[in-house]
Amino acid sequence: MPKSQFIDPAAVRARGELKFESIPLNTYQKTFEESAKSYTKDDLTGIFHDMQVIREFEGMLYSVRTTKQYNGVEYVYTGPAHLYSGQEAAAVGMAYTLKADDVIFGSHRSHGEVLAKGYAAIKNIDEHGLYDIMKAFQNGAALAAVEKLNKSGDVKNLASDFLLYGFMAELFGRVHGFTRGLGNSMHVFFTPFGIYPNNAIVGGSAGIAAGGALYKRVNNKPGMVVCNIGDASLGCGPVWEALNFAAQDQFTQLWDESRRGGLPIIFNFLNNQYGMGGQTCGETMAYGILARVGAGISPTQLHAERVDGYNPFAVIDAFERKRGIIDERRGPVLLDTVTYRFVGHSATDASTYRTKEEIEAWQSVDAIKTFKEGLIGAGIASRDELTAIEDGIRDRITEIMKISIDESVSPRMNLLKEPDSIRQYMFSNRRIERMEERAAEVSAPKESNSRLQKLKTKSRSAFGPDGKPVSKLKQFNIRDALFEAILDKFYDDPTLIAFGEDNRDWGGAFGVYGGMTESIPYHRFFNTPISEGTIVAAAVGYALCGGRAVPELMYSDFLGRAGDEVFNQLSKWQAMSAGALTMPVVLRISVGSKYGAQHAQDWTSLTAHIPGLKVVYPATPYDAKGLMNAALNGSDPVVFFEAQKLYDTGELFHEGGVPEEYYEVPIGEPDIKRAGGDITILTVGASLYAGLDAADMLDKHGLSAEVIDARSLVPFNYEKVVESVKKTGRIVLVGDSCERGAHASDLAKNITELCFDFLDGPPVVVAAPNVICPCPELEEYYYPQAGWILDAIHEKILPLPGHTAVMNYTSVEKMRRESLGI
Amino acid sequence: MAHTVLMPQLGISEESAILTAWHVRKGETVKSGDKLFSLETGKSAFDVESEHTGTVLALLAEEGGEIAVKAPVCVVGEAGEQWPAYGPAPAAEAATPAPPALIAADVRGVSPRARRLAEKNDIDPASAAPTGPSGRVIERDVRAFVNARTENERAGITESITPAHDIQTVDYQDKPLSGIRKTIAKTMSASLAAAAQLTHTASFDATRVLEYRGLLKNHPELNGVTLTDMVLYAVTRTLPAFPALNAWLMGDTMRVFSEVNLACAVDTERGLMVPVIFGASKKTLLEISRELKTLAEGCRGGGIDPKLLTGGSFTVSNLGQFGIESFTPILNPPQTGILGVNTITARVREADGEIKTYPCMSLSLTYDHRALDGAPASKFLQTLCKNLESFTALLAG
Repeated sequence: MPKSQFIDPAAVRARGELKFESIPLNTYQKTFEESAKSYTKDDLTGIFHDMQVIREFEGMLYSVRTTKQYNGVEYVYTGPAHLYSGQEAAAVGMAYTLKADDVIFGSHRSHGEVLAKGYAAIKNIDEHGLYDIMKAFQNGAALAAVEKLNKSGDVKNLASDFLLYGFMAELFGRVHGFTRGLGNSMHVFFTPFGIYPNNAIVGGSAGIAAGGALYKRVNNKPGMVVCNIGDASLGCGPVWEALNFAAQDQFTQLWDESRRGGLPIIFNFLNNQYGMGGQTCGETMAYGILARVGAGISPTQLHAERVDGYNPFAVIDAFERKRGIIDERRGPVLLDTVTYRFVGHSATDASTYRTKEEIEAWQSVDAIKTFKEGLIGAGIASRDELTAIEDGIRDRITEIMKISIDESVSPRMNLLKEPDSIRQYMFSNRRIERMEERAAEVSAPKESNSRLQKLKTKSRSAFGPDGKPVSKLKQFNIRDALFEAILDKFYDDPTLIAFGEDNRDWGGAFGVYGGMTESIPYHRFFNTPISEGTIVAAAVGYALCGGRAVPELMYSDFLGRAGDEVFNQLSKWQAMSAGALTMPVVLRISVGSKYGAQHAQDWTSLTAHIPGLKVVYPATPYDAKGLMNAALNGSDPVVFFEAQKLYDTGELFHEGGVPEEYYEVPIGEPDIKRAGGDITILTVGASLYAGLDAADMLDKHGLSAEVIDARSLVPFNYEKVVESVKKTGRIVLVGDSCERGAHASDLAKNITELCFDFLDGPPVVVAAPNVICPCPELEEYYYPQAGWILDAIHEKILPLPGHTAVMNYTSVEKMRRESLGI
Repeated sequence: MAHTVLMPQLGISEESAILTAWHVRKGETVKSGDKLFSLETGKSAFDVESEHTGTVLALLAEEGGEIAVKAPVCVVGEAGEQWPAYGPAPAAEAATPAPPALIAADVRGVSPRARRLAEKNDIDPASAAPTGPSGRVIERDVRAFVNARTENERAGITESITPAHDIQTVDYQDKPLSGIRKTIAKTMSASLAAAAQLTHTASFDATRVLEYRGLLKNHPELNGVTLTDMVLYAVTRTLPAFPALNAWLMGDTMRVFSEVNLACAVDTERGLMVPVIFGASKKTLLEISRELKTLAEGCRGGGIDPKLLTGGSFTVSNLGQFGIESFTPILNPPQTGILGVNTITARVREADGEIKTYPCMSLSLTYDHRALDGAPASKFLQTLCKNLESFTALLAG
């Protein structure tokens, strides 16, 4: 909604016609001989070599998967095998022009791209650079294994063996694998060679790659991003989100001159005609020809064209031309790179959905065979030479396979002896104040920010110096606390970007960012389309590449729209990289109220369930600022929940109010908001205030309640709670999530285990009922109220003389509801 | 007219008394002044006489029963006369508070916390009255049970405890405790639980007191004066200089007595009794001696006025006649001190290069460290010993 742009009704309503440009299909028509003229013999045999390595490598994997041996070496492999056989020319053509700064993201079927980009990197990086990379990886452990095998002294040869070994060890789940065996076949990557995560979720890379391109543009980094995904991924909403996200008008119309222009990304759809067995063209998709999709996204039509992926020269040509477009900042680009896989979707696919004739027809135009015959026919290489290359490849793969499966050289993680082998990678737990050391680009000095100046007139505490409550409007509240922390970081970390729906001029739907626009330029702080999936995915890609991002989801209810991105991407890549990647993302999510069933749910528990996410939910301005500061200085993904009903809450607890200066509240530490000795009330998030009201009511029953604010869901230090329960023997857990699967229920389970002998009654959870959130007028029957806490205590833990329960917490009622699933 | 005889209240704090024996039967005629029944309270035993002449129309209590004060015990009137209908004399047990109304008391569990507390106190948690949800025994129930048991133990009423060995093979008999035994039990355990007690023992050369005792033995009027009397006398003359030992510790205050009201332990068939010689520091040795004799007889005979059994400011207990050489007397709260008198033994000492024996008597002082420190307590004992060593000089005072 920039005011600089006028939406003219006359223009919008004017009669006219939308014209599309023609979309080229397979324009490259040069013969082999014509094409070969532009290449040296080494280039050409290199292309042949790279394609043949992919063919042989996949043949090896298919063989061990189906016949339990390869080339006489026995091995049982039971993992996935989504093979690249048949698609080699597309991968090698794609990678051929890529430079060291260019990065690729891929899919579950990306073995070919890994090898092709790996060889391209080996070609592009000098020997010192290569050796340093290999030496740095796992402190040289993998390098040592291949150095024993490769005594030639040739670093490029060594790097070739290293590539095959890191890859194979990864496939076979060995510690010397590129991600210590934690990634496996579908997720192989090695960022020093520009190979970024391959994603087993179809289309999962689209938004992440867009985030990678965003990183390059925002931070003026050289190179481009290639997103290698399949044709069937266009059936996934997030892929369309990503295409649109990467092509937003604001990049060319609103961003500062220095950053203006389309994002440097090529969405390379490796169109092998099938999504598993679903035939995309003719059955499951509507596009007819995939390249058409570009025309639907933007006026540039994403410079879409179809490329013959069975001709490496055609693919190389397309990438050379498209790089020009990227360099001119006219991206993004969409390529429909047609290809075909000879084998099934996986090793268990019997190809019942296609005919033998179809497979044979494609095999008859097999790119490798055609290329080999071309080389021989053109007199560039003799058959013997090429056969020698083939034999050499088979030997290398056999040799390297042997060490990859040799337990003495390539062990697996020993999860009995070293049970933290995987746990150690779930979080990077590093303190990184700035992702890069350089000045932050801002629009004005921080002190000149009008909001910041206004905050100076506000009371940092809910109470004035006279101890009397200050009016709500004059209280420094949670909204202000978050603003202060994030503004601060914008001036500190030059890579920090924040984005989400209506963030900029609106200031965020709930005013947290009010006034931010005047200080922070577009490219660091911008509005996004209503694309929750890509909002999160772009942050993931941005962080994977080396930046820090603060994406925002307007309502926790919208988490479902970003389900894969939060649950499979944001949470996973640190561990799946075995510690190679960090994920400094603070995902702000507000928890709604007053807006009914789809805008008022507390879904904190869903995120707490997923390993790899830190989750916090502050309920006071002091905690909000302190936790935000801690989150913004870390290296891990933090899902930062904020309650809409608490945004204007002032500071009631911290002595002296919220400090103006910088401080942190450690993530994972609960806080005793009120001390007591008879019963513990542990609250999650906004329910703190119901807990405090309940404590007041319990006072009247002669019971002093200790109210503990969880503040964080993950991680969580139980010490204070255990100590409290040992003292009181009783605990009620309160949270606004629906009871079934609520995080409070998880806390209750753990406390039962940790404090069993000290308990005088079961830990009781007071949560929202397992129903939809009704209208605002009925919310008091949905969110836990102070009275419910007393009811639960009365009925489950300690009968309170004279108390009449309103809510039914009896066992009989619980059984009834559970039997009905409500 | 029928007269209802009520259980008398002998002391202001008495709540009940045990009817130890009936001296009349139903239908028997009695004269005014005839014994109707005997009773025993924590502090005293007493016979209740009839104030009327007539026929015993009803006995409303059984021998051995504990009856609340002012509850009807029997009715005396004219034969055939009607009297108000009384139910059995109400039992004096403390009313057990009814548990609050519970939701479906079909589950009867014990909370882990309650179980822990029960184990710690060596009780079966199932014996506690549950007040938790669904009939669960929770912490407060075990706590209430433990408190009640402690009270009972203090009162001498012990729940029947199943011994670890096979009870079939052991011959035994359960006897209810007498009122005095209960009182002693209660007082003693309360004393040990509440006070910070410790005992110092010191001895003195008893040559002089024995000489003086020998002197009196031949005197026709003074021959009843005992060594105990002499120790009591010395205490009454020593104590005024040590106010913290002639006092009661009552919570945050100390009641310091200007007079020495000396309690003296007396062994009776029913148990230990402690009558008080009021104003003892103003009384002569002979007066103290005679008064103690009267009080002891009253105690042993059962007719002592209960008022003489309370109000002591310091206690002396003599176990010397049993050959006890040292012991730790237990304070009689709220008093802050008690002196134990031990037997006389022969000791040796060196004098002028010669080893000689001398009669040595030791004294054990238990005091409440909450009320005074070790130094003043020791000083008292030291002064007392000196005074006893120069007993005749003390008599002049």
